[in-house]
Amino acid sequence: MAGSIITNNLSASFGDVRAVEGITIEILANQVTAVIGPSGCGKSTFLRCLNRMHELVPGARATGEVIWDGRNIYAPEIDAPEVRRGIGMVFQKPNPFPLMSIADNVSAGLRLTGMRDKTEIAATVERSLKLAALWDEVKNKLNKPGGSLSGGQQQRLCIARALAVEPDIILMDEPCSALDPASTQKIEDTMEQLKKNYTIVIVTHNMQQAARVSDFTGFLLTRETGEPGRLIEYGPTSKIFTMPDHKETENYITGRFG
Amino acid sequence: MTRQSFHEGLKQLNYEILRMASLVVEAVDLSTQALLTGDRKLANSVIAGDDDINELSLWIEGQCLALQARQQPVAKDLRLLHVCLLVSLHLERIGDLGVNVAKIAKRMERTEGAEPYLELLRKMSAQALEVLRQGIKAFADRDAELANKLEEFDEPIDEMFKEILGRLLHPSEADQEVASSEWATHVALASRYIERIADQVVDMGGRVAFLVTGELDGKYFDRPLAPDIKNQFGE
Repeated sequence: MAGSIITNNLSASFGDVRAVEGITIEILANQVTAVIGPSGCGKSTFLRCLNRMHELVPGARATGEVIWDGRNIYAPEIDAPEVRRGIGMVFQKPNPFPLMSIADNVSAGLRLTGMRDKTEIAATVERSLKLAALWDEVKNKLNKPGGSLSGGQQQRLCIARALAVEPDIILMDEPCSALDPASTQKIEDTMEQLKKNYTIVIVTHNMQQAARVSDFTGFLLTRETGEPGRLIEYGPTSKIFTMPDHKETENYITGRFG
Repeated sequence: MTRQSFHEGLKQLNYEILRMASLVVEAVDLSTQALLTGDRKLANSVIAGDDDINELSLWIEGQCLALQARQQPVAKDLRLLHVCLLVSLHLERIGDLGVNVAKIAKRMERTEGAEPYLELLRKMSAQALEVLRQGIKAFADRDAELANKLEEFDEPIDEMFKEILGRLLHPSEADQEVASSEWATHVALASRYIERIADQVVDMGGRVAFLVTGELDGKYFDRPLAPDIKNQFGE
């Protein structure tokens, strides 16, 4: 069962610099939610706050609440690595372990969770690669290194790796920006399939991609240089891209900015 | 094509719609004048002028398609392209209806006793022309309120159309002497065409309202199909 996330007045900073401020948003289960906005508006920072990865940068901190299925993940008793298992992340550049085999790439996280049974691991590897729509392309070369795959395949390998530990939610930070159109389409098709079982949040520069893949879209903007990014508008994607409520959203998505 | 030339393209599209609209207003104005006066030359000029309207309509359609294909427009740009396509279709239809009226103007004989019918056609024509002008104004000014009022302006036209049909179907004794069946058919068709012109404008107004509000028929555009729609096909 996929989970939902509610952020409540979420702010994040690097040292003294506020990156995002006051974000209150409800991300619905089994939906694809896109976060769009110009460079530097804090999209990626916001995303990294959703699974406590933001605080891994020295000096970085987040305030406010992130409620994942009823629990505030920033509450003191919560274990951050456990949050990151339940809310997985796929990054902009595919980052498989290049020398590790394809199968070991997928099962890398499983070993950390303590899974030892080889049959169980093999079954999870197969299931994850199938979910990531990569199985048919790699099933006969599972022992080849992850680095031997194409960029698009590597990114799907990373998605499979994130799926192997059975998360609730998958965060994707510009997952297609380093990929060609055919690979991009495969990832987008994969997302469509994945949302049956998972909740997906995707940060993207590509507005057409947000329009294609997401059910809901949030628009972040830094109004003045040096100010933190704020959530300007959030709503159903077809509304945002046809009849946005805010002039700033309209200007950004129609390319009339500045 | 850069984003800037895209915005120039949208401006030109808007301009050509207004140019087409002014030709359509002229066609309706002249065709109804020809109908009322029996001026065949005027009627012929309307028929000949329809080619320009059709040409503009095709150009607009092509531009809407090309800009959508190349620019992936969103928000107000998307609504504008969608509405321009539909408005140009409505205008093209109105132009065709003007041609239909002009063709009747050429065929309809002057008959004694026709005056009460001509008077109704005159009033209908004036009102239809006014509805058309207001519809175009609503588009040009992006005025949703005016666009939604067009239906109200259309009501007297529907009433006059019914009155003409009623008189033709149930003629008084005096009417019976003047009205040949051929003449009656011309009057019925002409009034029907004029009534349709106003209907097209009302529908066009619905698109203009969408351009401004994002609502179709007063409701959010992206909505589920009402479940009872299936039932009428006896699923």
